[in-house]
Amino acid sequence: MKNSKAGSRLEKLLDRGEFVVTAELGPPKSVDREVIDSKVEALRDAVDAVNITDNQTAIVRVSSISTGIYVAEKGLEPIFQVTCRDRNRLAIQADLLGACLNGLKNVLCLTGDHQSFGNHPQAKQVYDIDSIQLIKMVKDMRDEKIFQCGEEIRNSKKAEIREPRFLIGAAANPFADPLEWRVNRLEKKVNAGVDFIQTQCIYDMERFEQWMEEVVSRGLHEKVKILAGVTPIRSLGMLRYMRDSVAGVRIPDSVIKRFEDAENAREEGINFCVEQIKRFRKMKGVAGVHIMAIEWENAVRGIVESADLLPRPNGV
Amino acid sequence: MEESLLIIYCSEGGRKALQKMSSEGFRLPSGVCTFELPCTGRINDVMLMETLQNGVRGIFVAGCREENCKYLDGNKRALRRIKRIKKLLSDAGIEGKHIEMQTFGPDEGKRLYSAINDFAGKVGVS
Amino acid sequence: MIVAEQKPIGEILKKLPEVEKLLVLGCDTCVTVCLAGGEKEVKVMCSAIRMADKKIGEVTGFSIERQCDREFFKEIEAVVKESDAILSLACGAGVQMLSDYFEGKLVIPGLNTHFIGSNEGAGYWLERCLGCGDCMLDITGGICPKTRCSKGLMNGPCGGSENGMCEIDPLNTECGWYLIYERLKKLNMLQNMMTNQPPRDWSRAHDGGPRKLLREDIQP
Repeated sequence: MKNSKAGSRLEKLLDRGEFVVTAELGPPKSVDREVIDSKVEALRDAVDAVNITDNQTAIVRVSSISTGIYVAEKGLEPIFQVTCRDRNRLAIQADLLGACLNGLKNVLCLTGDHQSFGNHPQAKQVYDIDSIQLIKMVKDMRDEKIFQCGEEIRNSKKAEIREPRFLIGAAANPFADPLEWRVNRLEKKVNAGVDFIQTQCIYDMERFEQWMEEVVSRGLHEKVKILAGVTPIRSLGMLRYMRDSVAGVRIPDSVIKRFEDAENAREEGINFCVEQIKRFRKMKGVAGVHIMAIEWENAVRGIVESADLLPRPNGV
Repeated sequence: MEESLLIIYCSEGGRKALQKMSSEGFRLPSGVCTFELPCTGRINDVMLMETLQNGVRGIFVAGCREENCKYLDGNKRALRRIKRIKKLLSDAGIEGKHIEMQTFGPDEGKRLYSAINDFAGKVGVS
Repeated sequence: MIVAEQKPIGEILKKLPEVEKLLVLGCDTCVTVCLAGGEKEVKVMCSAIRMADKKIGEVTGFSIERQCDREFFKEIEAVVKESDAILSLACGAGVQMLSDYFEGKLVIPGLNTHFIGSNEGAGYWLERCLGCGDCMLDITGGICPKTRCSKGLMNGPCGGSENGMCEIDPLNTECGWYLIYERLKKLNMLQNMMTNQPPRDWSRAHDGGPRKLLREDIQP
């Protein structure tokens, strides 16, 4: 029996080999509980855990940890995010202690979009550490029970060690450049101590399969649980926008053509997503799916249901 | 300088155009001084600014057509410099000082005359 | 070299006090090379100020070897004494040294100092060095991840690298880590990129406080 890392629902399901489902919840840009409540209701019982984004695209929103605490109280398991753009190693470690204190158990370690993308482009960037150093820092806090500076995590010399324990996640992009380096970068994250990976949204299934083949050939799928990322398409315009304006997203012409020929883009978007999930379930090394339905959380339940993934396991 | 308008021209296309202009009976307006350089590429920022500062109201530069500069890109460099000085004068809010460069073929006497007159009018020299 | 750029002339003219005697002081080293504050630029600036609509009496122009070394101030001591204010066309270090040495004289900066960089071609300078105090260029094949990567990552590239370009400006900004990757390939040192670089010691950079360099072996 494995020693539990944090004992979260996500960890238990992954450990027993369930094909897990995660989704995303973007906090509001104001103190608006209703927005969060409606997203929670849309996702409740349809997913195993939900990412709470952290000032995504460098736009100020309610912080990830506080939204995570709120969401956990409502009965949905959060995966809070930490980006390296806005906080230094002191603030991050303090946040990690606080998140654990408040019952959060899953964390996603990200570099973070450059501040020039967001609504405060004049802000000073931090990037004291990068995502790989962050993964190692969180792992060392959990397993070595030390802060980044090397000190033990105890309140005083005589006090007990009380380390924060998290299931550690990170992102991977099989489609960014240089392509031949992408599995190496994953391996670096594995070496740093990551437990699970969510990939960037996939439209090029062939390319993703090639990436997975290499991942499996290096045995990395046994060291880290890989969740394949998908984003359902709502319109042809959205598809084109993603192809032309979002870095690191690759969309093959065959997919564009499929949507151009479709009668109803939304329906096609859902169908395509469901097909992808069914294919992932058959792929070696893929431990689950991460559904990023940006501002379309209501679509998630239908997709999960059509992919024969409902009901989600109970009592975990 | 007592004259208010200075014409700088190069020894190649600029001079030939001026000669053509004369031979066709066109005369330079009064209050004009001319200055010859081997190539307009010899014009520099300091020369232009100090000339204007010393009382000249307008500088008109006549160089060779784009691809015809004997020194390859002297005229292009001059065009860039004059553009830079124009912007400096404008950004500094300096009024009453003008500078312009145009390029001419050796037989464009009439066009040169026209251009100089227009410029003289803008500068306020008869 | 230090790369700087003249402030817009409108901004400079606004900052200039309306004095009897103004000195415009240039520097013959870095800012001459980047065409911002050398002798030529001093002359052009003097002419511009004289012609501008400002009630300034006399404008004098001068340029010295460097404004970051006291020994070069001796030759201008007399003219500075006569001046009511100085417009310095040196980098930030020069402006400050000038202000310290001639305490009591108002010194106005005429430039915005940008970075430590190299001249890549006519009219093109590129930031190369942040002065982090902890050089690791041997590991990255001579390309600095702090300056060339928009996020200053030590374990790049991030997911926003596409076609060798950085997501913040895909038309103009190269991805620093893509450059490092290609360079390490050429040098047969790609294994450097597989090593997880630990967090940097920022206390050696400006984050540690205003820095000094003291060479005991040289000081009297």
